[in-house]
Amino acid sequence: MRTTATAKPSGFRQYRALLAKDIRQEIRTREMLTSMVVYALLVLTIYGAALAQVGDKLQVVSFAGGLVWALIIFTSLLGLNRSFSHETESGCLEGILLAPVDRAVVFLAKATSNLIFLAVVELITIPLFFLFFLSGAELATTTPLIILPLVVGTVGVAGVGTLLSTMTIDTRGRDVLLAILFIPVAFPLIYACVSATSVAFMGVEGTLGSFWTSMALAGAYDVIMIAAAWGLYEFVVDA
Amino acid sequence: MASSSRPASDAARRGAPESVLDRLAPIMLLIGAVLVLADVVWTFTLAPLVQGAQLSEPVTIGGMQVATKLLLSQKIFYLHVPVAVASFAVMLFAAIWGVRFLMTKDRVFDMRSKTAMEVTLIFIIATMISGDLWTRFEWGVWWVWEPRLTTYFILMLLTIGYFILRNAIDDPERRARFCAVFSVVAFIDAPISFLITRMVPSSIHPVVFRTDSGLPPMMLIPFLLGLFGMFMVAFALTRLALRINAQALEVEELKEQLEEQDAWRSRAAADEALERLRMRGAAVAGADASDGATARAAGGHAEDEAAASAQQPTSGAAATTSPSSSPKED
Repeated sequence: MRTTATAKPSGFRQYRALLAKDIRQEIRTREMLTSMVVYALLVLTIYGAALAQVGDKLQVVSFAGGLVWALIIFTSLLGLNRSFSHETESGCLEGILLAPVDRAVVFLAKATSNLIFLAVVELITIPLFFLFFLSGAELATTTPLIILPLVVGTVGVAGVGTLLSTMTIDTRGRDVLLAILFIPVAFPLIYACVSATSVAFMGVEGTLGSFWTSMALAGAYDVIMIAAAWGLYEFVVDA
Repeated sequence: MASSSRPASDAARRGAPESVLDRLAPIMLLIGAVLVLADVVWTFTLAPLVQGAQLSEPVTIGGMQVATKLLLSQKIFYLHVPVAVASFAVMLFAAIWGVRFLMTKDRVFDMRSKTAMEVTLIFIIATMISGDLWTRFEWGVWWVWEPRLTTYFILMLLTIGYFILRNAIDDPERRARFCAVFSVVAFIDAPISFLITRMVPSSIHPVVFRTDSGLPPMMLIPFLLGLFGMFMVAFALTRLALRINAQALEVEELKEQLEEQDAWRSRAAADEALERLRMRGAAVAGADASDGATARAAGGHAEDEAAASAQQPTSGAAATTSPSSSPKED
């Protein structure tokens, strides 16, 4: 990578190299994406079973926001657990930490790669959700607005999730522990995003104000949490 | 000898200002309890009832025409709010001590952060119980997913998660680090929970701290009594728990030192035994060689003795270096 032996690569180049490593690894193994997409499909199947008995009387649109976010949270938990199991294999994390790379850069690269994988999974599963549960429903004109809470929410999930999954990687029963730590920490974000998504799905006149309030809450949460995670990451990986 | 590694922390732990606070703690606990008791007594004797929801038609109670329901359940306010505010305050200290640990890497701050979290959990559970009684009597349900209740419930889950995280990590250094990070992350929910009744207008939980609350003195005084009393109780409980945990930490450190010394002594004993074996081996070899050497030339015997004497100083040097090197390790 380096052209000269003495010049220290810039932070952005380190970030790009770490990100490229994660993406290359994922393209070669396809381990994380496959398991996440299949898991999301299974959650959708369970939704199908859970909603099968209510027939056509129920308006799925009224709680579609909650369903979408439950799907995203459970799928991202699976992916976040996976994202660091790669790193522990054959001492990859130790190798990264030995290199003179700023810990904040490591955090940003990992969070970005998690964000990319989550976004890819959402791009596949959200259309499937529409196909399975909303194909017969009348969609409100504000429905495209759900993209906004999806983006803001996914950014926050990736940021907080990266910090917490690094912490739980070497603990006893780490799969359960990540859920125990992640769901309460991410709760304010989930709450705000569900309310924004639901407002967009319902599309009732005059409720768009609460959509923007929720989005402001979610955005503030993102900023605070990612800043905190960025600052604290040094202490989490500093072995 | 191991105490020399952390002189600052030891001094801080056994220092004078702490002992003053420790001596103050039982007195504070007593005063706090008296204040809270005064608050409760005042609440049920002097504080007026609060006008609640509009009744469908005016009724006559005690010779007075009353158009709104008088809320006896509001009495929980004098106890519930101080406990809740105290839980936020103690959790703030848990986060501050967590940050201090990350800055200094001193185990004492980890212990303090953990202690503050323990007290926080007690206060959170007390808040949940008292709040739930109000919820049942005033709103008619045991639980409602209302923003304030939800965020406070999350706060409880975070505190419980903190202890689960503590138990899941064996290495004390890493455990302290991760728990400090998590205490900071968890505390971010506390101001959210505190402010959410102002941010979300649909919240049905009453907003308590306002400059325009216009609380009459008969209600304000017991509330403040309860607030300060509860702060004192929280402080005293934290102080007492700190003393217990500090002693537990000290015992733990002493135990580690003992184990180290034990390991060092057994290593020294093993070295000694090895040396004795070598000596005997050399002696046996020397005897064998001398048996064979009686028939052979005297040069071989001298060579064996030289080898044995050369072996002795090296093993002796190994035995003398090991005690001097071991104190550096701890």
